[in-house]
Amino acid sequence: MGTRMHRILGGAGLLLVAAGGILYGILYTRGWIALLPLLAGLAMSVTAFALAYRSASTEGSRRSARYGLGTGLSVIVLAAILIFLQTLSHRHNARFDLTRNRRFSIAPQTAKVLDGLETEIRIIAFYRETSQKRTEMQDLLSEIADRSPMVEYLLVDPDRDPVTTRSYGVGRGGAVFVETGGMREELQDPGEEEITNALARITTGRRRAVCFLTGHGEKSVSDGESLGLSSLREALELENYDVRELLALGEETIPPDCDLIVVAGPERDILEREQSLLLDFLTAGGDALLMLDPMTEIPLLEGIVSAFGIGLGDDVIVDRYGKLLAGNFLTPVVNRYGAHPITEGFRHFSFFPQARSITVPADLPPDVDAAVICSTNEGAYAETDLERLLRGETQYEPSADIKGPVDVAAAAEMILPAHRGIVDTLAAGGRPLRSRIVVFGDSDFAGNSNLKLSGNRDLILNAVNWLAEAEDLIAIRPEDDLLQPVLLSATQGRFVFWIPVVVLPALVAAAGAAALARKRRGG
Amino acid sequence: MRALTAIYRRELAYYFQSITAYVVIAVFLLISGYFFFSIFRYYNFLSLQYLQSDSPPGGLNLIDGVMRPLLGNISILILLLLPLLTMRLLAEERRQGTFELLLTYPVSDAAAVGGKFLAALSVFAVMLAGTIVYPVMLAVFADPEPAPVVSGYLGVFLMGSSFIAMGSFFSSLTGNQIVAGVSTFGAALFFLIIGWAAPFVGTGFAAVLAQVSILYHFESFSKGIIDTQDVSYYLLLTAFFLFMTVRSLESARWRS
Repeated sequence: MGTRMHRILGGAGLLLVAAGGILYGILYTRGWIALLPLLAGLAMSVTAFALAYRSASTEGSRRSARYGLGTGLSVIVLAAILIFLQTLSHRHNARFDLTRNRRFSIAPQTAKVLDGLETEIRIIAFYRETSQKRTEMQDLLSEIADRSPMVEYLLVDPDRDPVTTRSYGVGRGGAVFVETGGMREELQDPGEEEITNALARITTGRRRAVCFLTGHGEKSVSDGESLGLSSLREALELENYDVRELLALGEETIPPDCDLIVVAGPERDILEREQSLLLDFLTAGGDALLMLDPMTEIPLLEGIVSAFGIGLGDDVIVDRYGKLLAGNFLTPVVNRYGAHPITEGFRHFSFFPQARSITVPADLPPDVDAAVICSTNEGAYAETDLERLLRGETQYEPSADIKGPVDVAAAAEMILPAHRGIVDTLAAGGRPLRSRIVVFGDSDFAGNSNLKLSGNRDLILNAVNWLAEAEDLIAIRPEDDLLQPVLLSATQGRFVFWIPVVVLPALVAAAGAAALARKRRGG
Repeated sequence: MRALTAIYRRELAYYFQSITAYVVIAVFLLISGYFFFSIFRYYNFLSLQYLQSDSPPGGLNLIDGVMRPLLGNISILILLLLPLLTMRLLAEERRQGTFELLLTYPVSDAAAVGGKFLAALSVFAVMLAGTIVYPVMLAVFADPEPAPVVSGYLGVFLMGSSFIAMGSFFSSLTGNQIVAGVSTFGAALFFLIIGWAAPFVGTGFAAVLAQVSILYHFESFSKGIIDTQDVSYYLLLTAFFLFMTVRSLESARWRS
């Protein structure tokens, strides 16, 4: 009876300890519950051993019991020592990136920002398991977290974890959130540069300022009515922007801490003085978002956008699908997006109630890069006969009107030469000065009642983020991607098959046969 | 030391005079050769696609596109094949009764374990050496970065040595080679996939699990990064199991 009970007791004790461990792993946050089986198991095992020891009949078996205990203890001690050593090694590791372009190491600017972090930061990235970008993002984030103990990261697959995904309001994959304390910034498909800048911003508590122009009948961010921009203001503030109103006429110059100026649906044109203020702002590296409605006479504003090569159509876009989806013919449905960071991967429609066309000519001013970002579907067209339209009629005239798809939004970037009065930012790891604008042929799409429709909100927020990016102080040159395409001829392809798959194993098999033959012969 | 060398040479002779080593190596080279061929062919296809389109796919370089997936597959392959090499290391002796002889012979347990471990390790090294053909082929057709190839092989070698140490341990526990082989396989698999539970547990525990996982520590080697914590992980894991093997031999001696 004695020895059997000891064995059962001991076995049960060990099982309880194991169960306790597993329970702890599962219950994690309420892991204290696991303490019970853990301690009970330990107690049972120890008791079993003590009983076995006491009832051991001979000195020999006592000795072997003592010996067994000694072995067990030495194994545990060794394991503890090794775990301790590995933990030390983990904390004080040295890492050598041997790739040719050091692509798995963070840039020195990033390292500098990381070393200077004083608050804890959490980075949450939403990427599907299947996307290529996920591995790259994981590599980058693990490098960042490795460098700084203040940074913790989490990779979420939107498909596997819809709850978290929804709570962050993530629409598509590729969203990355950088948060600390109460502040949070959202980045879209960021590279190392965007993340580093977000980290730098979030630690200095610097919020980028978006200044809305007023005084010309523009939509107001204080307006909570259906066409007002109060929802846009809230959305921007959630993204850690500082939203202000700006009366350009009253200012000597535009306040220098305005990162971005927004002109939202003015009913009247700006004055010449305002135009020169804005142009100065832009040529000094500032950025602007212009939402310009149709049927407004705005030659001076037009002059600003034409400096970037963009043209405003003197028309109104008519769309049959608009009638289906929005209830009237004058709300074009936008479902074509240009290959541009603002609209990359965009899959939603957008709606532009009463829009004018935007044009981007083939030949642009020097140092300017411009592209169309939004176009309507094919069924729409731009009606140039405005008098007729005001009478309530419209008809597509091939000679005058623009056939769909009609472009309704464009983005442009101008590289500015560093010149008089402008600090040379190149020395500080910065980049040549550049100025960006985004022009939409409509402002109502960002209004309170339209903002939450389909892709409207994402569209304007992406545009703002893209423009604000130009204000990033830290420039990290992306490492030149190592590209090594290889093309094999048919013969070479056969070579690649025969040598590794046939010849090599056959050689080994032959060597084996030879060895076997030799053994048989030798006896 | 002399005892260790003697055991080493005896084991090595056993491996290469029977068909064991040859079969294992040939099968290994056959399968990994096929892996190389199909991965390289796919890379060829991706290259063609890239040259016809305009946007490069990420990772179109020989390390990320060929060596990394290849070495990843080879890790699984050695997980399956190394237990076959190690299962007889001590189990055979036990069964044949030469175990008792070994235990009474003037050879220390450490020397016995060391010699056998090194012998199995040498066979493994020969296996790996056969695969050098693949990066050499890559060098014939293109320009792979040499340092990440070396670090990748270092990672596989360290991983394999920890599998072999595990194999020695389980082999010393039983006279039944099958049991030894299967237990080794199970233990190695356990260490390999323990990281997979990470998404399902709390973040703190997940970090611990990752630290224990063999695959986690292999990642950086295959990318071209040598991190001292990964090297120490494999060395410590190997040392632990070798120590356990020696202890197991000692306790067997005590029992008889």
